[in-house]
Amino acid sequence: MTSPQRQQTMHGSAQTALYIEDLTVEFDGFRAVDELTLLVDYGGIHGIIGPNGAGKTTVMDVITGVTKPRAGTVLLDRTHDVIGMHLSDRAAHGIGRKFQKPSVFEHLTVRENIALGVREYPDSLLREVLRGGGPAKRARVDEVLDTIALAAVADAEAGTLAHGQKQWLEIGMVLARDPRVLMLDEPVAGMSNTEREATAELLQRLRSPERAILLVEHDMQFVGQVSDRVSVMHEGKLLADGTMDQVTSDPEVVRVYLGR
Amino acid sequence: MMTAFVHSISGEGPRDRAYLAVVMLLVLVVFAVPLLGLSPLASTPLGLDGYQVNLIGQVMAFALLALSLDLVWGYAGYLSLGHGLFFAIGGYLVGMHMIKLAYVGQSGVPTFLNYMGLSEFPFYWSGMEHFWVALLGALLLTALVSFVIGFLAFRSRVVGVYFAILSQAFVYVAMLIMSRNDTGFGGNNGITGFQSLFGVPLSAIESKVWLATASALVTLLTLILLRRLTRGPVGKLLVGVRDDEDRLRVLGYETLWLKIAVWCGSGLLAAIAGMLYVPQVQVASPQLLSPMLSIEIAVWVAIGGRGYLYGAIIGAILVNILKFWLTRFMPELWPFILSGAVLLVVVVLRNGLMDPGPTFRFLFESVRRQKVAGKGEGA
Repeated sequence: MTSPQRQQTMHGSAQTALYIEDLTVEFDGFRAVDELTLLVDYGGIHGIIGPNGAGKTTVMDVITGVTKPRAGTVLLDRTHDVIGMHLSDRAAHGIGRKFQKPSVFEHLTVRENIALGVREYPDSLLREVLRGGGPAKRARVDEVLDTIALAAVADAEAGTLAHGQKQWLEIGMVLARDPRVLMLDEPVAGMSNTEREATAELLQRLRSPERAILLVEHDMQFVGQVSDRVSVMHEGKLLADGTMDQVTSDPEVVRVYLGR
Repeated sequence: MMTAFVHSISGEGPRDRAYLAVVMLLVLVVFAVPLLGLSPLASTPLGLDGYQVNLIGQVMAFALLALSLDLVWGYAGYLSLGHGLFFAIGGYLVGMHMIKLAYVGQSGVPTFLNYMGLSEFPFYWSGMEHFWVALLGALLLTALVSFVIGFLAFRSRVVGVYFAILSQAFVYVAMLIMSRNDTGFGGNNGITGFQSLFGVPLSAIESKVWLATASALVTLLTLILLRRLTRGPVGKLLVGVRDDEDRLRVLGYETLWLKIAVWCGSGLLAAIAGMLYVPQVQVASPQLLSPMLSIEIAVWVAIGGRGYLYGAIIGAILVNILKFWLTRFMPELWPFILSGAVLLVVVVLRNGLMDPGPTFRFLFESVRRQKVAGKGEGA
């Protein structure tokens, strides 16, 4: 286990974005996440790998609010209690997430999808509906379209996009609100090599000192290519933590991945 | 010239043209019914008799009812099999208004209240002789009932078929309550014996004409209003709720209030449809609350096509005209024909008549291409 002090030395003066402590999630007695403690820093890309059922997606579900934990703490900026927050407050606090299965609104255009991610009046849905949609929103949508390189298909219905484009579009929807914590669940699943390269470049563009990117991905090569730091989960617990080279040479990790 | 006009105000695309065609059809009905239903043209061969005018009026009220369902089903993705509940609230309240009106300046009460041992109207009939009281009462009661149902169901995140069953249960319970004689609304027979509305006797052709015209006009205005609403930000959010509600919630949208608002709005439209319908059939009975009627509304929308608004109107018009016509000649066949139509639409078409799906679209396109090619040769 890495201590917070060691992280400080690894990333210079990196600030903790997410502070997860003793997090436990149970489904009908099965411990999907088992007293997990994990720190996610601003400024980098933090990969989480592990075999199927290790609890990676469940951790994201807890942070997003679609799953309630049994015990534990999740703090944003070491101050805001995330678990107690309402779903819409989490988004307002800058927690954004791309789901594992590409979740775009297929009957809306690419532009309309991204526009749903922008909020001009985060406190009031009524005001958003009545007064939202001004030039500021349109400018932000164009900006995001450029970032995710989908400007050429801006007016196409999302349902007509290729699989890889849908993945980027969903990242764009989440990105529209300029999230401080960006969680990506399997962003390159089912992608071709070219698309994977494009996604790696996109992730580099998304890096920011004010943003923490948390990446769950089965593709180890991709994780190694883009992540600054990698955590390995196994059976709901943290098995190893460090750079990709460090964790892949860890005997415990090798044992879990290559069978016992 | 016509097409130039269509393009100038609608942009392009078959969807816009279909919408415009339905708008024009409704405009036509609004003008044609009073023109052809009243003298001097009524007695010409082009004229409409009372039966025809009444039929048009009923179909228009059903079209409005179908519109209200399409808003929650076609856009937000929640199928209600209980919209008859709101339809009936509007229907019963306008019925109460007409009964109270008939007893103004007279002592005594209708027979169904006599049977209950009452010699005067209970307190909740007070003021009902004024139309605005009945209208306001119907809207408030509908808002309250739809809010309670919507809040309970959406708060507990009831979705899909469970929502449909729940809504059906509510309408069924309401039917059982209203079927009891001691509920005070005439039990199984409902309330009837209406005489006039706005001073016009219901037996006069004038009342039939104006009720049919009003039904068409309200349907037309509602179509235009909902079209604006669904093409704007609210429509995008509703489609978001329909296609992936969790995605929308995690983007930070509180979908609960959005769904409640749309559900209540839809209920209010159904109540207005009921207020237009009951004076035309001159009875408000638990039939309005029958699960069969509520399911039929969904059938109209399914046959017309969900999520286009005008599809709901076309579905309601086609199915009901067919029903009126067939039940005159071969009533025993109607259930089979309706079931057959539903099966056909579900199996063959992707989403009702308004969206024939790729196979049929290919056919249409090739026909159009041939036409265009033919024109090219002629010029």
